[in-house]
Amino acid sequence: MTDEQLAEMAATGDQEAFASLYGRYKQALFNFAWRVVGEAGLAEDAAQESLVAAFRHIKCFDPAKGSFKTWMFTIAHNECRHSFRLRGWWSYSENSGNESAGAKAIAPDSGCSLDEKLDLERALKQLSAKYRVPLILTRLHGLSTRECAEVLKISEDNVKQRVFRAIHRLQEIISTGDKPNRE
Amino acid sequence: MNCGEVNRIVQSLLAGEGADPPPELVEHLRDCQVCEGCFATLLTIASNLKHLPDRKLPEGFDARFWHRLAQRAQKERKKAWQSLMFSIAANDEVRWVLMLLLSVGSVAVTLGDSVAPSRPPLLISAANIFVTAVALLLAAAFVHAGSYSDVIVRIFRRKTR
Repeated sequence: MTDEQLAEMAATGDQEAFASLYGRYKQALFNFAWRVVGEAGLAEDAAQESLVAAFRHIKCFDPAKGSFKTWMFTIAHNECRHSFRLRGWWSYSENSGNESAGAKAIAPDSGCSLDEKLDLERALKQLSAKYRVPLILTRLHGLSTRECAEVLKISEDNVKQRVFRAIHRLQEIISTGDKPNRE
Repeated sequence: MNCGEVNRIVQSLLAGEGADPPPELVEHLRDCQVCEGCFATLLTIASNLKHLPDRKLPEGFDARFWHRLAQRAQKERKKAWQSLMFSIAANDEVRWVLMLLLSVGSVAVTLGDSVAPSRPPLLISAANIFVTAVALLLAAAFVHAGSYSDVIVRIFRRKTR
């Protein structure tokens, strides 16, 4: 059953349908929030608030306007921005690198080595949110450029440009072991 | 394929459009040292990003979520009731209608008692319950609007204006 069908059922009061959506999205939203806000406690808050907001406003979801995934990540993105506002941008930038990147991560599956993953995770944390968020949405959560543009309310070209610059910056950080920037 | 086209395709690829680089791009990167230097590492990084591991959910995440949801629902029910009371208190017309009902009810009870004392006591009790309910509703509306003193102050201000 698709997310949209489940959302439709949840909108009529079917709690099991909502529980299924919760099961599908809790991990993804937590990952997203953790990589955006940089702290497990805040990420849990943001992810849970997003899911609560989705439950409360499930009737507002309109499949004609976009996919459920886009809707869900839009809510999560707003919650993360709310966290930013509560904590203040600079405190976030300063503290974001304090947690060890892969310490509590689920065992790696395939692809690059563990060291490369840790390097990449640390480098990711050093990017400013402006570049990090579109990169996370497109590369880690599989949103298309159009969907990402909808979530961030920017143009598709802007998304492409930000992702390109983000990856470019990652390369610089990894190759030079750069200090955190505050773009 | 020229270097400009490569730049455009790489930007799309990096943004997640298309799964694999097209063969022409691979060929160009193999032949062009400049593009190879610029883009090959970027494509590798972009590909590696997909393999970053998931962060494990904190223990008790589920329990805390369902508890939060239940708390929020309870809060919203309370808020809905409060907003109903507030709308009654804030709406002059509704307040006047309630006052009118209260007055009519009082008169009905009084008349019922004095004009027809032989009337069944059940009817008088029903009228009494009605009047009491309306009075309580009105009192709740006034209390929610602030306090009795606030209401009196507001009425006083309106008269002196």
